[in-house]
Amino acid sequence: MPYTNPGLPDGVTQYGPGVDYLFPVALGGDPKPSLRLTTNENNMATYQGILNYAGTFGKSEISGLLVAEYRDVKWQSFYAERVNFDLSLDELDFGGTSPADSRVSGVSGAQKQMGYVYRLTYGYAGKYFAEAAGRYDGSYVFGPGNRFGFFPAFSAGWRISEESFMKQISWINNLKLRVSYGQSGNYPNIRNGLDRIPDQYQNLDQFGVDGSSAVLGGGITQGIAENLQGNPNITWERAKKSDIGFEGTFWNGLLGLEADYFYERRSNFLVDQIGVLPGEYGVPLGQVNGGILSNQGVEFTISSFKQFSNDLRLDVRGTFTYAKSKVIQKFENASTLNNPNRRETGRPLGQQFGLQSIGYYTTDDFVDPSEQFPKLKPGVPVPNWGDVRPGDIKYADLQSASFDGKPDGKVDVNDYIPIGNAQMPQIIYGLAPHLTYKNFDLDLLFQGTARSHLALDNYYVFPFVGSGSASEFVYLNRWTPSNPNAKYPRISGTPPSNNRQPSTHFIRNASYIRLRSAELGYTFSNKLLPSAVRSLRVYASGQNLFTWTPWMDEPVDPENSGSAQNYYQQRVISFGINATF
Amino acid sequence: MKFKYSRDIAKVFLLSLLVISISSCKKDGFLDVPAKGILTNKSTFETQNNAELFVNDIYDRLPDGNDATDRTLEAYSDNNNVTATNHEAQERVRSNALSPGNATNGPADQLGWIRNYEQIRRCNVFLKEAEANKGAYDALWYEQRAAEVRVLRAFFYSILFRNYGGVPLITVPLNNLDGSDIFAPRATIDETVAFIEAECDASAEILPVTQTGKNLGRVTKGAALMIKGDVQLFAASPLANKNNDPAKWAKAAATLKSVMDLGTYSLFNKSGAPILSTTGSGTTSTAFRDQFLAANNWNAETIFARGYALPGKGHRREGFMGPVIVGGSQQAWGGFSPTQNLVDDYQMDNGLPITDPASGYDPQHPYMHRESRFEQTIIYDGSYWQGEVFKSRMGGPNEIDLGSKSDISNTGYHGRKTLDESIKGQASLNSSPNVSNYQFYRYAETLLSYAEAQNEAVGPDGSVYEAVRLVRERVLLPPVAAGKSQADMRIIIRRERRLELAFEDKRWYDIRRWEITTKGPAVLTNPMYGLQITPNGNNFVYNRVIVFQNRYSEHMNWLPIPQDVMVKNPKLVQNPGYN
Repeated sequence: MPYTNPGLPDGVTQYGPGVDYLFPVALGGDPKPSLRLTTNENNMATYQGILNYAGTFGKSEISGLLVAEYRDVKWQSFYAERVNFDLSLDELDFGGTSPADSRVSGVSGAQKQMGYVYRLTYGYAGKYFAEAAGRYDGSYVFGPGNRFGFFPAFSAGWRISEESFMKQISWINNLKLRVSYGQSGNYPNIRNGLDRIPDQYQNLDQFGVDGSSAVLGGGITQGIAENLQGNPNITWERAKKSDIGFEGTFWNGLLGLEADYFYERRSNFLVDQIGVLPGEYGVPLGQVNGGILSNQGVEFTISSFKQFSNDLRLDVRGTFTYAKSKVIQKFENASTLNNPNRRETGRPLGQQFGLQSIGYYTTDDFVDPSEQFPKLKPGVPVPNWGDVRPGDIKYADLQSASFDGKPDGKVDVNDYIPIGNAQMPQIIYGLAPHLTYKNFDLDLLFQGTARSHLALDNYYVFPFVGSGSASEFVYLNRWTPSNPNAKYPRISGTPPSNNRQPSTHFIRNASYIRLRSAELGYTFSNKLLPSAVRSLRVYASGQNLFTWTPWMDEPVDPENSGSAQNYYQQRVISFGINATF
Repeated sequence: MKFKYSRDIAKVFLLSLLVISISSCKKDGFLDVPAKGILTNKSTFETQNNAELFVNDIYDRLPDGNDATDRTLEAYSDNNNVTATNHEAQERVRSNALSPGNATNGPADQLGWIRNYEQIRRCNVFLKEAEANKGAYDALWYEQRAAEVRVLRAFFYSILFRNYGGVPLITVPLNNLDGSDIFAPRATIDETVAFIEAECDASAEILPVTQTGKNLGRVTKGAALMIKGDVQLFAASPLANKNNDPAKWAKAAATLKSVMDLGTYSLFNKSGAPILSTTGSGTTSTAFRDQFLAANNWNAETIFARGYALPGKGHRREGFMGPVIVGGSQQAWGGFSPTQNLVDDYQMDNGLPITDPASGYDPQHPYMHRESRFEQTIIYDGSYWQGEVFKSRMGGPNEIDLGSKSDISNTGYHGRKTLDESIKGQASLNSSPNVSNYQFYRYAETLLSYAEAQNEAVGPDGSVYEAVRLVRERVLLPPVAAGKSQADMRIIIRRERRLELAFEDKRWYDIRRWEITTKGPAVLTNPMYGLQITPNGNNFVYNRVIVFQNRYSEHMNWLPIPQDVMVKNPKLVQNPGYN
């Protein structure tokens, strides 16, 4: 049975599953069928050698591990296609007969990596622990001479609770201090806006082939273009992380606690140079190991377990992480480096900048507000993004082009200030209680973040932009002469550029608490079950049941950004029965 | 036992790996993966075949004006009012909102500062590397390709010049590793023009007058001279020639004359099927429109154009620009919404403007007896498109969209010229089937540019009348009556140019160089009009309506250099008025 999709235009029928597929008449006329056969081949060979050693000498325990690994990957894809079939037979040979009806395409690539890993541990009497480990990694993505990096790590631990002077303290079941230092290596990222260029071979000047280039002599030619000026010295990015912390269990599990402080420093952080090259340069450049980034913070895990009686049992586990990054060195040009309000060096990675909104223009700001295009009164700072009218966002004039901290009568990018935090949250926490009572069990998972800000954009806050859509929420909260303190500026058929500048007006504290999942179950007692059934449990569960964004009224998912803001995470509710026979 | 066995294997293997690594400790060559699909500087230029491909790519970077979605430079001018709100044309350019922080890069980034310097770098890389490797090339090939690339570079510079004024003149690939200065200041307007002139002159000496066979589409001597002449015309115009130095006009006229004197070019004059109308006069003279059909690519009028071919390199102009509702369903995006302001400029078929009392213009039948370029350029209420009568009247399928609720024109008109009527909009969007050229320069423009420059330099002499006569003759208009003053002839030539070159992305440059954006006719501060047509019995009531109030400022005749470009090169000085 064909079914009609109410979203389709009149006269267009879509055929559902289980129906012989017919080619509906497309809007474009009468396209003929096509057949494409695709082959993808991946060969991955991993060679691994492992040496293990463990030994006990008196109270000393020693172990060692050596791993050597070599990975060799080859992949290729290939497809052949024929179009303009007159027959409904899925054989390539029966397609259109013109040479242009036959299409083939193929691409291939390879990867090679090699790594050595070692680990040596020493333990004494279950009290003192020490470990030295490391990796020596090589990768094809870097140029000859820069392929290998050595990343050592060391750690030590002291289980205080095993000491005789602690044994008398009965409420301490376990208490361990630990300290570590380690290095790790990172690959270069795919650089912004250059998705055609893979992250490898940034050491090479790259010239790429375009199989469908200029039309000359009436035919399509191939072309070659310079895609990248390489950085022959690019190598591993190196992160050095130190950590000090403790873990403990008290009162037989009523309280479990882990706490850590960490400091990470990424020297030779891979950064783009584009900000310090003139716009006339004309070609992208490989990334440079030229940045320095630090990141420090604390992590806590707290857990509790209590059996109240034979019937009630509670398990709770909570986690909390706070981390703050700082860009110590990067490529910045004078327009931001010399402006104390816009300088990115010294601020967290991903810090957002924008204008400071000070409300809306009112009729008092204009010489003659009744004009179709009213002029601002002398003395009112002039914004840099075209004409404004009452109801448009008014921004603070904070800085001149010479960065002397004085207003200059103009509102432009020099007036940017840091707005909010980076979108990446500084605080992430979770709480997972698990409760059983008699035959009932209840599982909850709460998640939340804090110190994260989201810049709203697109038609959720700018009616008629882009796709031309508008939201009722904005319409109801827009500026009008009788609603001068509205949440949103005036609405017009074309959102004024002035209102769309990044600013405090559209930055939101994206902190949230979300009930990520919940499950309530009941397990039937065996006595009630027929002998053929060994166990039976019924349950109801849900995901994303509830999200609280106390500082954001817009119906926008706090975990999404950019054009995906309207894709709220799905709420899923399911009911189920588990039976074992 | 099995466990022991595998451990022994592992030991042996580990040892062998260690041996590999020891033997290759200083060389990590065993991790080499050939960078397939990537060529190097060396492999690109060591053979003529590969270097040829590098030049092909530069041709491919010419502005793709036929496939730039529904955005055209026409919407930056008073010819076209497309309102979709993500269009910079209305949101920035015609709303007085251009600024360094709110700059425009043009449709498909055609005017972009960064984009054009990317293309200039491609040219610079070729000229440098080919020079170094020319021993490996055929000498004639090298001489020709180097000349072509120098003209292409001059063309990219001409785009920058005609939008921004004087620009940094960079002639070698910038290199931040060899200690050279990569920050260049802007050259003056005169220096920029002189550079383009010299490059075109040097190449014109070398290039052939026509390119044929496999070379069809490459730069010719005529193209080099036309690019130079167009730049000189711009440089002589009021915007760039503040002292109105007549020598600049004379220089432009001489260059344009040299294109005419090549004797290669003539106006295309072969008409096809007539254009029919129920409310206008229709026309059997269709050569003016038909020159833009794929069948007539590279006709004798073409001087410089971008070519298209199938499969995969066709364009979707009909889908992007064509009328929206055809045959009862949406076919196209309606990128052309010609204004009533443009329509009013079309003359009567007797050659008189509609404002002339003797013209015979009847406001109750505004489409009757209009010149044939009107019929060939504009789809209006009552004219035929793809076998049916186009109706923008109230109640019609394409009823004038005054509220901008859809893609349908908000002026009541769509565009016909440069479109192929045989291609349905949806077919166009689905398969990019059209391979008609995008014309950068054609001979009619040469004639009108010459007439303009000569009229300004020495007044309306016989050669001015003759050049205008040739353009008007093809579209069945009588010659301009003798005895015109220089000022009258200026008005005639400017109108002729607007109508002859409508929908060819020329108007944006003309209104700025003539300084008529905010002065004189003030085309970018006056309103844009549409025509609301209401049926009334057997007749119609025609009602001019304002569809957009343009806003513009005089200083915007030179575009702002984008903020992010300004901040990265401290030697750049912004155009006046933007600070």
